[in-house]
Parts: sequence; structure tokens; C-alpha cells
Amino acid sequence: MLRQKHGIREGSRLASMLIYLATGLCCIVTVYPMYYVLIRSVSAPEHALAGDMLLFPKGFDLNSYRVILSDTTLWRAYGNTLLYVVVTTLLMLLFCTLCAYPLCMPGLFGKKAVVTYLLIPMYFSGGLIPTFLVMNRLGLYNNIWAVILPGSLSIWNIILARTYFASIPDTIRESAAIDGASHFTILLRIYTPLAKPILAVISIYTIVITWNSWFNALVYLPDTALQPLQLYLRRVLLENTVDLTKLPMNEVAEAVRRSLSNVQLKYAMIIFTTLPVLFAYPFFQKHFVKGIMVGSLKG
Amino acid sequence: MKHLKKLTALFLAAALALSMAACGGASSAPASGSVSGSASAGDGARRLTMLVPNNTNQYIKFDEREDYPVWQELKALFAQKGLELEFEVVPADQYPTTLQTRIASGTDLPDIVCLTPFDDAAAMDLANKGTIQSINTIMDEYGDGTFNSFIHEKYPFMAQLTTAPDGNIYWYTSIQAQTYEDKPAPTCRVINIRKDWLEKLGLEAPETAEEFISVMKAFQENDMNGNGAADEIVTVDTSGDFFMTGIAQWFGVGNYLTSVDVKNNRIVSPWYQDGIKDYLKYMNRLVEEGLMDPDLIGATYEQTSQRMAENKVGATFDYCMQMWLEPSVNAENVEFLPIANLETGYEPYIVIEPSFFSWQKWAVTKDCKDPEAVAALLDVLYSDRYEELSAWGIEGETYEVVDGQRQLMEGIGGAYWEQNAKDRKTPGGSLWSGCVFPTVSLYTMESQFTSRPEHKNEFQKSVVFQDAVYPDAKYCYMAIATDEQNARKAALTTDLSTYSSELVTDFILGRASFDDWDQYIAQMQELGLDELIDIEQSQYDKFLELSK
Repeated sequence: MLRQKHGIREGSRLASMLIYLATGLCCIVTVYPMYYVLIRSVSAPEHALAGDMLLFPKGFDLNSYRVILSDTTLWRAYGNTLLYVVVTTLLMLLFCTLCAYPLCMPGLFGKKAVVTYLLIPMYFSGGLIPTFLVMNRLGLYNNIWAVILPGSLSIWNIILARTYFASIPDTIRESAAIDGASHFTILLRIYTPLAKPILAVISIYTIVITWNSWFNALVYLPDTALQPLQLYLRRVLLENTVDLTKLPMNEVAEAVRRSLSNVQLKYAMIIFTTLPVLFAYPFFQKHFVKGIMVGSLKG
Repeated sequence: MKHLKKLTALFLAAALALSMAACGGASSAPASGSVSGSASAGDGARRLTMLVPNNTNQYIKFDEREDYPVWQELKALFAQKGLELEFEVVPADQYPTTLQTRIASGTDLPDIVCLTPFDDAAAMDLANKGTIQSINTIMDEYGDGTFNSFIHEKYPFMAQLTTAPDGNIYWYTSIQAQTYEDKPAPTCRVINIRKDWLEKLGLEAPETAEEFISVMKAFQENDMNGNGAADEIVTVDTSGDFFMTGIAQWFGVGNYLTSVDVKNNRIVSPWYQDGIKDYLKYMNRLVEEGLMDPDLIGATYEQTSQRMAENKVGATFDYCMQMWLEPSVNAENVEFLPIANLETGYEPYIVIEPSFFSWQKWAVTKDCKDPEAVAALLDVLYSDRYEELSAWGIEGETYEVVDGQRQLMEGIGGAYWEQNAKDRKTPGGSLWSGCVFPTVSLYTMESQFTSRPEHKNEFQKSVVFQDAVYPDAKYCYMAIATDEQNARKAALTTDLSTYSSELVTDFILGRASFDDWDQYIAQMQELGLDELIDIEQSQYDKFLELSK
């Protein structure tokens, strides 16, 4: 066997064992909290409150899942989140390709100025109140576009897409132009298919960020019918964390009752809201492939 | 062809811009739940918009108020005054964020906002900037006397607590007034010990601090929860800036970093009091002997309630009349017994929750252009009929009068909320109190006794007329501070509270030495403890002056 400079033999069993052990420990540390939440969500309510399980649930009770599945508010929030995710992702891909394509054109007039103009807001923004004022004046308060539009334009993603587009040889575009293709045709038929890897990356980033986002909804969507899933989850979790010392006696009873009855429900809700994202990742992995540039150049 | 494509592209861009603008609608659309809140009063109806948090009752929802007869009764009251209310109802957890951004934006504000998330300093800041209007000027000019009589004659503590340094009142509040035999009757928080465990072991309730330790040890030695471990403990919260543990009170120690001594009309700090060292030594003993779990110092309510659920709590600090601990324990026949004033060699006292209590805030914003409507609203909210609808509901449906005392009917209230929601029968307070409208809770202790076990009633009766020493809710004894005082308190409080709570923890865990006591006190003085006491003394003096 070859012995490397660092002294570890290639194919060394000890090294393999240590690597497996280390990665196994990392897996356990990463996965166990999720597993604990899962077993706590299916344990009997008194054990869910006590939290006295380790590897297996104590008792078995699916009542929380029944409550969740019959909760119309949660399903509406789910639907809202799906709407925001799909629309935001589609708009993000649209804006990224439309912005990145001209910026990768050599000789574009004012390109430097445009890029600088785009880069400045990456470092700082106006802050919450000025943004709120703008959104209010645009009539977006209590409107789903207040959540969709800010999430569908990302300068970082534009730069990612532009960098990828710039790596596509100019000769492809030139040869298409010679064949009579317009800019729209080149963008639609050549650049976009070749940019599938970066578009997949942008998509998954956008999906995860939009799925998990709640702050814009907190500020701009007081209407519960429009609120996304994460805000609903936040509400359920926060209802359990009231500071009882700040309440007079006649309000403590209700706060305690609410706090104790929702413990198991809280864990079931965490599982319910996390599963879609967990399932989405494997489907997108297979799309992370390099574009194929076969037969695109003649001569 | 090229021109056509350019024109098409321009047209599409313009169409996109227009459609986005059209989607917006009004510049600040009201939130969900925006419904005309009262019956139409015809032409000339006075309209008020209110930004308020939603109620948090799991079953009885404000959004379904139109189905409740008690709401129709309240609407009728508003209609008599020609009032129409529009509500912007925001979920309670989201409300502080919504309120802060709306207030900070300063435009298109509703007429009335629930200002509870703002403390007095922040609320006064809004008053100084003109964001909220003074209520007393409105009521003096347009009120019919109901509100003024309520806050100046019937329950003057409300005026005392809400009058700003400039003499104006900028917000109205919830109030609670509790009586027993027609006299002010406070409730209290004390150590509650497991009565069923005492009876099982044939022990009497402890009367001294030493007996308390003996009893707790007996719980452990006899493994009262039957799990084979000596894990029966006492749970009290020693974190934060307060010394309100029930046990500190046995040693005559004040209940906050700065406490109100109502007997001597002065502000004191436990760090300067005689019993503090022995109290800290006692708490250290509880930890050393395994009777208190140091992991629970600073724990959340959920963490301590886990221990309760596991049947590991032999004693805890809570209201003497509470009824929520027993159901939270996974065991049969659980009973808690309140105990207080255990002998320690110091003068003990009980943490009294004031019988007259004022909290939460609602304010009138600068964008309200109809002061007469505001006057009409407040005259309704502080009327006898509103109090009746809020606290009791509709006679014959939710409450009855027995021997001259109102009492809720069987099957109404707390434990029956789910059924009450289905039947649409509830006191109005479950729908709107403390969020949309203020709580006006004027109830008798006698009505509370009907739903409590006798041992708790006996304890409450034995302490009901005890004089307060260092009362709970000390802000009920503080007039509103000036801007300079608020600024100094903001600068001092965080560091002092942090140092104080860390020092208490260090003493309880045995990490701090009493030999260095003077250094610790000197450090707190350097952090401004004496200045904080002086500021609060002036607030208390102002409160006393307004009480005359």
C-alpha cells in the first residue's frame, strides 16, 4: 500500500474507522434533536409535558396530529406559504435571468454604474421604519405582495446568475445572433437551459428562505387569513411562553391552562412544518449538474 | 419589427408596474376583523377606529363576537351613544411589532390604540411628541361625568397611577378592585406545600423555617412520588431583579431590588436589610441539602412545570387561591396548602397583590378628530353596565344574584370555556377584556370562595386584612416618572438587575463569600443603587401626594 507524506496509509482501516466514528457522531448530534421532537410529539400528553423520554416515545398518542390535520387555520397558513414560495421563486428566477443577462453583455453602456447601484443596497438598507413607510405608501400593507415582492429580488442571486452567465462563452451568443436569434430567443433558448445548475441553486435557496420567513409577514400582514405557516407556528410557540409573574391572578389561570395544554401540540407542529423542506432537498439535488455544452461551437 | 418589439417590451413593463400599484388599494388598509363594531346609529353616527390585539382565549374568539348575546348588549350600549367602532384586530403575539411600526411611521394612525406593550417611559415619550392626546381634557369637555366620577371618586388610584408629571392623563387602563365584607381585600402569593404528602406522613404544616427543611427532607426520605429517587424539591424563582420567593418574605426581606415599604412610606432595597444574609444562607442550605435544584435557577415556566408534571415538587411559590397547580401534576389527589409567616427570628410578611390594581393602557392618537366619540366610548367603558357585562354577562344566562351577591351560574367560566363557546354564553370579559377593551373587574372574595377548597379559603380569610408591607406590583404605588428620571432609570436598571440577580445566584450556589459582602454592596452603590432608590422615592412621594 502507498504511504502518504502525512503517514496515513491509503485504505487504512483505523483511519476509516475514525472517520466513520466522527461522521457518525456528527450525524447523531445533528439528527437527534429532530428525533427527540418527533418522539415527544407522539408520546402521551403527560409524558410530552414531562419530557422524560430518551430513545423511544412513552405512551403513544396521535391526538395532536389529529388536531393539526383538522385545524383549518393551519391548512390556510400552509396554502399561503405554498403560494408565497411558488410565486416568489418564479419571480426570483425571472428577475435574476432578466437582470443577469444584460449585465453579462460585454460593452453594455453604463454597466459599471448599474452594478455599483446594485451593490450598494447589499451592504445596508434604509431600515425597518423607512421600508414600512415605503410599503405603506405603495399600498402593500396587509397585502400578499408585501411578502412576495421583497423576497423575489435578491442582488446576491443576480450576481450569482450574472457570474454564471458570464462563464458561458460569448461565441455561443454570437453564433446564435448570426443565425438570426434575438436577445429574448438567446436568453430563453440558450442561456436559460445552460444555466439550469445555477437556477436550481437559486431556486432551492429561495424556497428554503421563503418557507422559513416570517418577519415580513409579522410586520405587514396583520390579517391572519394571509399569514404564512411560520408565523402561525411562532404564534403557537409564543402562547406557551407568557411571563406569569407579570399577570394579575385572574389572568394567570388562563395563561397556565393554555401553556400546559399545548406542549404536545407544539412538537407535532414543528414536525408538520419541517417535513416539506426535508423532502424537497433530495429532489433538487439531482438537478445540481453542470450544463451541457455539446456541439455548440462549429469549427 | 425592432420598434414593435421595443414597444411591446415597454408596454409589458408598464403593465407590470400598473398592476402592482393597483394591487395595493388604500395606502393603509385595515387588518382583518375590520368590521363595523356596533349597530348602525343612523346618520350622524360617530365612528372610531381601534387598533387592538386579539383575545387569546382558545375557545371564545373575538372574531366570532357577533354570535354572542353579550356582545349585542354591548353594541346596544355603544349605539345609545351613537358610536360605531371599527376594529383592526391583530393577533396578540404579533401586536407589539405591528403597534411599534405603526406608531413609528406616525401616519394613518387609528383613533384608539392599545398601548400596553409600551412602558410608562415610552408612552410618555409619545405624549411629549404629540402622538397621543390627553384624555382628561377630552373628558372634561365632552364627557357626561361617568368616566371622571369613576377615576376621581370611586377608584381614585386609577387617576393617581395615570396622571403624568404635567397633570394630564394620556391613557386609560384596566382595573381590578377586590373586596371582602365590602372592604378592600388583597390576595397574596406564598409558599404552597403538598397537603396530601403532609397528611400521608402525618405531619403538621411547618411553622418555622427549620420545620420547613425537616418536612421537605421527610418528603425525600419517604420518596413521596414513588420513583425511587430523592427528587422531591421546592421550586422558587430567584432570577431577575426580585426577591419574591415566598421564602425571602419569612426573613422580612423586600420583594424587588427596590421595594415599596408602605408602612414607613419609603423605598428600600433588600441588600440593605437585616434578614438578607440569613435568607441567602438558608437558600444555600436548601441547595446543599438537595432540596432545591440549581438547574432551575432562571428556568422557564415550561421547565419548572415539567417538574410539577413529574410529581417532583413538594413546595412552590404561587397565589394562595390558585387552582391551576393541582391539575398539572401527574398524580392522584394532589392538594396544595398555602403557608406563610414561618418563624426565622425576623419579622415575616406576606406578598400582597394590591386589592386595587391598575394595568394595561389604551390611548387616543393624534389622528383622532372626534373627541366627542372618545368621550362617549370612555363613558360606556367605565359604566356600571359595562362592568356587569364584562365580569358577569347577562343575568339569568351567565350569572344570578344569590343573597344579594352576583355569582356565575353553574357551568360558566374557566373550566367550561369550550362548552360556553359552543353555547355562546359567556361573560363579555372572555371576549374583549384586556385586549380590545379594558378589564373592569370589581369582584368580591366571597364569590371566589364558592369555587375553592376550604383550606385555601381559611388561609385567605386569615390574611385578607393583614397590612401590606412590601406589596406586589410596586408600579401601583409609583406616579409616572419625569423624562429625566426615566432616562436615569433606563441607564441604571439593567446593570443593577443583572448584578443583583447574579450575586443572589452566586450566594445560593455557594460561589460568593459573605466575607466580601462590603465589596459587593460597594459595587452596587457604584452601579447606582442609591440613585435608583432616590428616583423611586420621589415617584412614591408624588403618588402619595396625589392620593391626598
